[in-house]
Amino acid sequence: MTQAPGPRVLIAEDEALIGMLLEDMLTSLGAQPLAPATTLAQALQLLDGAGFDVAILDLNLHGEASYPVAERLRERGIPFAFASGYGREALKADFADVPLLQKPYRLSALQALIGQLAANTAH
Amino acid sequence: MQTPLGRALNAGEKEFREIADYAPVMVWRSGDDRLCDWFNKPWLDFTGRGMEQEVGFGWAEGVHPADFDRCLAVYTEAFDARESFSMEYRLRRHDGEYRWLLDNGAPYFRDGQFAGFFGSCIDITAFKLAESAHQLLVNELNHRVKNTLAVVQSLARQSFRDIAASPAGEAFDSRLQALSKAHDLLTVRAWRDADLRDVAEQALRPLAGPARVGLQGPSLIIAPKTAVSLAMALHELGTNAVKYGALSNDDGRVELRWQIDGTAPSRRLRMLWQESGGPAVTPPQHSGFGMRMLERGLAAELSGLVRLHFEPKGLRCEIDTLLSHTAPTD
Repeated sequence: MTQAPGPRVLIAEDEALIGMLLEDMLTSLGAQPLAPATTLAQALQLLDGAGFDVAILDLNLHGEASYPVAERLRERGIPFAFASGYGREALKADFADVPLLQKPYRLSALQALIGQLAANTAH
Repeated sequence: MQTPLGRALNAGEKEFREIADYAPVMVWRSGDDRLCDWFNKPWLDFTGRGMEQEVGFGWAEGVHPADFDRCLAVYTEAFDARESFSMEYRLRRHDGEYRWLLDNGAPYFRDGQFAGFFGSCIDITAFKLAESAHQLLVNELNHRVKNTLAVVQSLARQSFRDIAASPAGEAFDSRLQALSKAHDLLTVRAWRDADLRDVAEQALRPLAGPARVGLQGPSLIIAPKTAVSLAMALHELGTNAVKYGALSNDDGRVELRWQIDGTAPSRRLRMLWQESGGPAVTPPQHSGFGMRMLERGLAAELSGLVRLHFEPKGLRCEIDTLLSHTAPTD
């Protein structure tokens, strides 16, 4: 079975080791992760570089919420999910419908999430 | 000369009002028409308004707009039912700042007839602030714990690359997540304790609904350490059932029952995990980590007995512990 290349994934995660973990897990699932952005400014910069299909955003980037990135993604119709150690109740009300990936991660949950996000990308 | 008791019985309304004016609480009274007809000095000093402004429903003008509807609904409902109430709301102080009050109201009677309500209020703003700071801290701690668990997960993955994508790797990740979820449960009650029922629901519901996993037992408040151990134990039993036991086919069933036997101080918690309808069970050749965690780890943690029976019709696990060891501790 030859597989089409998986979606290109933008990652925003301030903890380097956790970013590496996500990169690794995504690669093993056949997705194509970009090198993680570790600050809000970096993540916003990556948005302009284009070259990704879906995004996973840590909710808290060195004390700054990643909502500005989320707002831009929503404007552009790019599917994304939040990753967090906080529960769903920590999400801002306007983002209550965004999928939430719980830390620590499970490969099966990540696989389902990537499938869900990729299915929502514009064709 | 009157005795103190005689004087007390003869004390008129005026003296009681004097006492009320010197008490460090805010006191109000309403008549049988719901309208307030008296406030003590501390109340008037707090609001900086005169009696004539506060009487009737004048006092409600100082209630915070966000609390107004709820405050009046609680008061009206309690009033109509002639039942005491206890509520928290924000009231504007003379300097314009809203302060949180705890208001306890109760009906009073004259000659057997309902006459109105008395209420007393204390300022609990400092307590509220401390409480929310505490919850914030606990949430932050939980966030840190989970990030740390994710870092551990990353380290494990980088260090043991060849097994990361194997069933063992997935089992490791799912154990980490069970640990993390047990922490969520404790965060809800600021790390004081948790309800055994919630622990069981959280550990097992993601695996199967009530049709496949029955949970039966009373609410029981348990200490954080016990909650984490039980959550991990139920996670092991649950995933084992999914892989090899009653939840590995289409119609097997798990019953988890618990009960409290005896009376304090020798109350015991007895839990029974019973699988049925799964594939025929054969005792394992060697005990895996999950079994060791149950029979040794959990038993030690609970200072109790944990027994696993590999019966052909289904795995049975008995947990028996003295309840004093599971009571909340500080």
